Amino acid sequence: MRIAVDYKPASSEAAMRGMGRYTQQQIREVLLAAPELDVYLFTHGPIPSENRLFDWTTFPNVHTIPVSVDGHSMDPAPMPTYEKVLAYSHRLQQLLKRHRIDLFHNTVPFMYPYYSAITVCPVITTFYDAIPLIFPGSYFGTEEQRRHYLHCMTNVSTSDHVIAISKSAAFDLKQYTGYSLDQISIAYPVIEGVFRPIERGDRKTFLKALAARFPAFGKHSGPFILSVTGVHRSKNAHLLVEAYTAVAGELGSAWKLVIVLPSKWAHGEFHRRFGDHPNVITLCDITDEELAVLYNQAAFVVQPSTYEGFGYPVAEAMHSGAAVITTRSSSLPEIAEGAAILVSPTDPYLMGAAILRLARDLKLRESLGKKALIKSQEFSDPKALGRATRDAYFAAVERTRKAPPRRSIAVWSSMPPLDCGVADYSGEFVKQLSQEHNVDVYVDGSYNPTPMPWKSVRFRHPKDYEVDDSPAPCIFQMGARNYQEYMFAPLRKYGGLVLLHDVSMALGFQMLAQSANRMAEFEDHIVAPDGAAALEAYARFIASPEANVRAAQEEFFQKHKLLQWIIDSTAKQLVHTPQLEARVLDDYPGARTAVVRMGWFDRLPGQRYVPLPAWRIGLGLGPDGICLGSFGIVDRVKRLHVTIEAFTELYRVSPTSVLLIVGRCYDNTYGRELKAQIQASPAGGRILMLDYAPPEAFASLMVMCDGIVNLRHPIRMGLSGVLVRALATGKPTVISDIDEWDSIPSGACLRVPVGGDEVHRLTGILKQMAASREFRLRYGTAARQWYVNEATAPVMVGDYMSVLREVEMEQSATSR
Amino acid sequence: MLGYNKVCNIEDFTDADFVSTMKEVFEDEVPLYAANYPAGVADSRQWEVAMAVRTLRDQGCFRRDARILGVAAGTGTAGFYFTRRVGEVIVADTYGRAGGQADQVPAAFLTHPAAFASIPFERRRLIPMYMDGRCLHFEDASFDAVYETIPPEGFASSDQIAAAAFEMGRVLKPGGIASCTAMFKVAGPPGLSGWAPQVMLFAREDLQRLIVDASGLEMVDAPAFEISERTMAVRRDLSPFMDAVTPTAPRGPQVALAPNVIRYYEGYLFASVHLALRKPLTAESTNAWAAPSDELRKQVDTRAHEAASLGGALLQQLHQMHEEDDHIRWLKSRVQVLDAEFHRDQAQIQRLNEIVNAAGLQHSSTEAEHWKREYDAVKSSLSWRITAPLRFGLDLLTGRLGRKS
Repeated sequence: MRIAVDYKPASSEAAMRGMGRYTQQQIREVLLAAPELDVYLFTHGPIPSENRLFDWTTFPNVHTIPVSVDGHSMDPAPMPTYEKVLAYSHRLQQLLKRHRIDLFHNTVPFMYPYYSAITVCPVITTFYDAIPLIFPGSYFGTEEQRRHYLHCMTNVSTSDHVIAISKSAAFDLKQYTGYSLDQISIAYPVIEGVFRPIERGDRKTFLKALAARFPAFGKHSGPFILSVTGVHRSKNAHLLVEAYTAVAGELGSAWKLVIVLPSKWAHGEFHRRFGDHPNVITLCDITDEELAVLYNQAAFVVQPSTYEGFGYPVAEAMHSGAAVITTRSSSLPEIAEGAAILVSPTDPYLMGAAILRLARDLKLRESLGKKALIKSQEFSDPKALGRATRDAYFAAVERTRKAPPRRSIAVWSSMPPLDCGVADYSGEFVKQLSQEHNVDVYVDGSYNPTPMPWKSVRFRHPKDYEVDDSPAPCIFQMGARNYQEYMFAPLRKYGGLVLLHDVSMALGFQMLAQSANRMAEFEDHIVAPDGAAALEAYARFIASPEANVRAAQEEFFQKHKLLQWIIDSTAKQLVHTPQLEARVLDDYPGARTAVVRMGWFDRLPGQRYVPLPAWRIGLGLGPDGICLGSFGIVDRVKRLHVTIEAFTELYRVSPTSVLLIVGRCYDNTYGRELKAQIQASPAGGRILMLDYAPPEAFASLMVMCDGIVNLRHPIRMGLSGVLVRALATGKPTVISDIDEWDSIPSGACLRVPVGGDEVHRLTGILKQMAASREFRLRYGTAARQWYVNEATAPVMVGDYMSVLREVEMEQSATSR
Repeated sequence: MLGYNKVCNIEDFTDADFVSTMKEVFEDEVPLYAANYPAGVADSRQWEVAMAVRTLRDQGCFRRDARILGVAAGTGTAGFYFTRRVGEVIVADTYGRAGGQADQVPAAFLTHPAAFASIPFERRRLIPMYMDGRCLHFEDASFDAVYETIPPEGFASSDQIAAAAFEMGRVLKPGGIASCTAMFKVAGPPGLSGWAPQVMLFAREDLQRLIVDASGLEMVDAPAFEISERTMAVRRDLSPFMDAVTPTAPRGPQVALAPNVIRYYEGYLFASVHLALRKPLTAESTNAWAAPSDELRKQVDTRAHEAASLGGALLQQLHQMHEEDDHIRWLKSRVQVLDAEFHRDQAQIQRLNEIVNAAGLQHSSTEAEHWKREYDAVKSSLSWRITAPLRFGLDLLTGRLGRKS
C-alpha cells in the first residue's frame, strides 16, 4: 500500500514540538510497525538536520517528494489567496495520482484548506484538538481568520478517517462537528525516552548550562515548582499565576515558580501580561534534555491548562517521575487520573490549595511520582503509536472500499458571498444537494467562497475535474456576468445539465467578450453556432452606422438568443418555468429542455426570534397602517416609480403606512429619479430606501411586511428569486401580469397589468391590503402553501435529480 | 409520555401529546408549514412554551379562578395563550429597557400588547407590568402558577439567579406550580458557563442548587437531562461560528436554521431545559440564603428608574446593516469596483468612437488611411469574421493615435 504523508510539520519551526514531534514520531513508528508500506513524504522545502527526529532516508521504503507549484513551495504565505489554495490542491491531486497513492495522510488540517479537495484517493487526517471551536473568541479576531478556519474544518469533515491524539479530542470532534466516532482511531503520542528519572549527579551539567543562560535561575538554589506552559487562552497561565501569587506568602521566598515558555515571543508576551514577580523565573528555548532535567529537579510540576488535545508536559513530567498538579479538563484526566492531583481549571483557590498541599507534603510528592511513572507507561510505548497508525491506515482504506457509494455531483457556479443572484441561488442549491450527495463545487478562485463546513461539499479547481477517473455529472449554473465566465470552456468540454438563469444572456456574453478583448472567440464560439442567419445579422449589426448602433444591437439580441452553443454542448437545458421552456423551444426547436422548479430554504422558522412587532412599532405604523416592501436590485425594470406612485395614493387614506425599498441600485440615473420622486411625494417621509440587506436581514424585513410589491417589465425571461422568497414568507405579493410568471397560480399572488391603469390597479390592491386583514391573510396563506408544495429547496433538488436520472438512462440506452 | 423536568430532545417533537399541544398553542403557524408540523421546524423556544403549557395544564392550573404570573415573560406567546385558560395572567418584565435588548422588552407592550400577539387572546385577563424578576413586588403565596425564563439578560451572577428562583417560590401559593426554562450546557470551555457575564448555561448541579434549592420547590417528576444521539445529530451547523464576527442576522445567538434544538455559539453547545416545580403544602423554609440582598434590591430599583427608549434597537439594526458590517463594506467595495469597471469600459468605448471619428476626419497618416480602408471594407463586406483583424488594427491604431495625441 502506498501512503503519502504531508510532511510539512517537519519543515516548520515547530518541527520538534507538538504537531511536528507527533508527526515525526508517528511516521517513524509506522515505518517500523509496517515495513510493507511504501511511504511518500511530501516535503515542503528543506528540512534542516536539527528538525529531524529520525533519519527517514535509512528506510528503503520511504520516498521523498518535494511539493511545489510552479517551482514554489506550498507554503507561500500565512494566508494564501483562494486561487492559490485551489491551485495547490490541484497540484496535490496530480502528485497523488502520478504516484498511484492509496491513502493520503493529512497531518496539518488547520494550516491550509488544500486537502478537502482530494478525491483521487482516501484521506486520513490527524485531529489534534477542537480548541478554536471551544474558545473562538480568544483565537480569532477577524472574520477572515474564522473563514479560514472553517475552510480548514472541511479538511477534517471530508476525511475518510481521522486519527485523534486522545479520546478527548475524538469526543470533541464528534460533539462539535458530528463526525462519527466509528471513523476515528486513537493514536496517543509517545513520550520520548529522554524524559526519564535522572540521577542528581547527572543533572549538573545541564543545570549549569541553564544557570549560565538564565542568571535568575542560576541564583536560585532552593525548591521550585515547574510549569511548562504558554500564553494562549487554553494554557490558562493566569490561573497558575493567580494561584501561586495567593499562596506565595505561605510558601515562603525559598520556593520559586519556574515557567518554561515555548519561544522568545511567548516569553516576552508572558511578561507583558503578568509583569515581573520576584519569585517567578521564566525560561525559554529549552532543549529536551534540559527540560527532562528540570522535570527531575522540580519539587513538582503544575499544568493549569483548560484544554489540551494531549498534554505533552503532563505526560513528560510523569514519565520523569515528577508529582503533577493539573486540571480536570479535556485530555488531562485521560493522561493523569489516579496519578496526579486534578483540580478545576477555573478555581485559583483550589489550585493554590493543591500547590500548598504538595509543597508541604514530601511523602505525597514521592507517592505521586511513583504512580506517575507507572501510569505514564501507557504513553511510552512507541510500538503502540506505530500499530495504531498502521491500523488506522488500513481501516481508512478498507472503509472506503466497503462504504456504500455516495453519488458525486459536479456543480459549476459562482457562490456566495458574490453579490449576484446566481450565487445566492447556488448557495441554497448546493446546501440542499449535499444532504444526499457529495458535491464538488468548481469555482474560479477569484474570491474566497463562504465556507460550507459540511462533510459532503468540496470546493475544487476547474482543472481538477479531469483528475478524477470517473468524473461526476456536471450541473452548470449559467449566467452572463463575469462571475460565470470561467465556466464557458468547461461547459463546452464536459457538458451535462445547464440551468439557464436567464435566456436573454446574449448581450451579456458580448459585453464579457468586449471587456476581455475576446471578440473573435465570441464570434466563433457563441455567435457562429446559432447559424448563418445569426452571423449575417451580427455582421449587419456591427457594421451599422454609429447613430443606429443601439437600435441595431437591440434588434439583434431580441432575435438571437445565442444559446445554440450551450444547447450543442449540454445534454439538457433547464429552466424554471414552462413559459421559459416554450420560449427556448420556439427559438431552438432542437433544444432538449426540462423544467425544474426554483426552490429556497425556508427562512420563516428563523424569524421566530426576530422582534418583528417591536420593529413595526418602531416604524410608527398606526392601527390603519401597513408595511409594504419592494425587494431586490433597484432597477427600472422593477417599476419602483409605479410602486411609489401607488403608495402615495395609499398614503392619503392610510398615512401611517410605510414603504421599504430594500436593495442595491446600480443604475445611478434611475436611483436619482426615484429619490427625486420620493422627495416630491407627500408620502416621501414614509418611504425608506434601505439599500442592500444581507440575506438574513433581507428575509426578516420581508416577514415584517404586510405585503410585497414585485413588479417587473420588461422581463429578462427568468423567474425571480426574490418573488419566490416573497411568496415563501407567506405575505400577499403583487406582481406584474406577464406571461413569464403565469406559473405562479393566481390565488397565490395579486396581478397588475403593465402600463395602462397600472398605478390605479396597484393602488386599489394596496388599499384593500390596508383595509382588510382577512384579505392579506387569504393571499398570504395561499402564497405560503404554494411555496411549501412547489418551491422548497428539496423540491428543487428533486427536480434536478429526476432530470439527471432521465439523461443518464438516455445515455445508457444510446451506448447500448 | 414525556416528562416535565427534562432537556429538549428532537424526539419530543414527535410525541403525540406534545405535538397536539404545539399545534394548539401555535395555531397561527400550522397553516404555514407542511402537514407534519412541527417536524422539520422544531424549535427550542417553542418547546419551552409548549412545556410550560403542558405543565400548567397537567398539574391542574387551568382553572378560571387561577392567577398566573409570567416572569421575564417578554412578548412571548405563553402569556397570550394562558389568558384563554385561566382567570388572570400578569406578564412581568423590564419593559422599556434601553439598550440592545430593547426590542425584546418594548415599552409598547405595556400599552398595546395586542400588537405583539400572534394568536387570539383575552385582553381583559392580561395585565402587562414592569417588574424585575429578581425582586417581585407581590405578596407571598399570591399565585397559583408562575412561569419564568432564567436567566434573561441582566441576571449577572449566580446569586441573582438564586434570588429570582427564591422570589418565584415565595410568590407561589402552597401546592402552586412553577414552570421554569433555562439553557443547558452540553459542551463548552471547561469550568465556564457562558460566553458573556450575563449569560448562564446550566449544568445539572447548577439547576439543582440555583433554581430548585433556591426556590424552595420540589420537582414534580424525576429529571431526565440526557440528550439523545438523534438530537446531537440533527444539526451541527457551524454558521454561528461566523455570526459572532459578522452579525448579519437580526437575531440572538441562539438560533440557526431549523431544526433548532442543539445550538452552538462561541464555543458552547447548549439546549433548552425545562423544570416543573411544585411548592410543598407544608415545609420549613431552607432557602433563605437565596433571598435577594438589600444591595440587589437597590440595584433593581435603580434600573427601574432608567429611562426607557423605544425603537432604539430598530435604528441600531438598520444602522448596522448600512454602516458597520464588514460584509456590507466588502460588498459596497465590490459595487464600487464594478461601477468603476463599467465606467472604464464605457469610457473606452467612447474613446474608441472618438478615435474612429478622428481617424476619419482629422488624421491623414498612412496608418490611419489604411485602417480607414479596412474599416470601410468591413462595412461593405458584411462579413463577421473580418472583425478580428479589424479590432487588431483598431488597437494598433489606437496606440499610435494615443501617442500622437
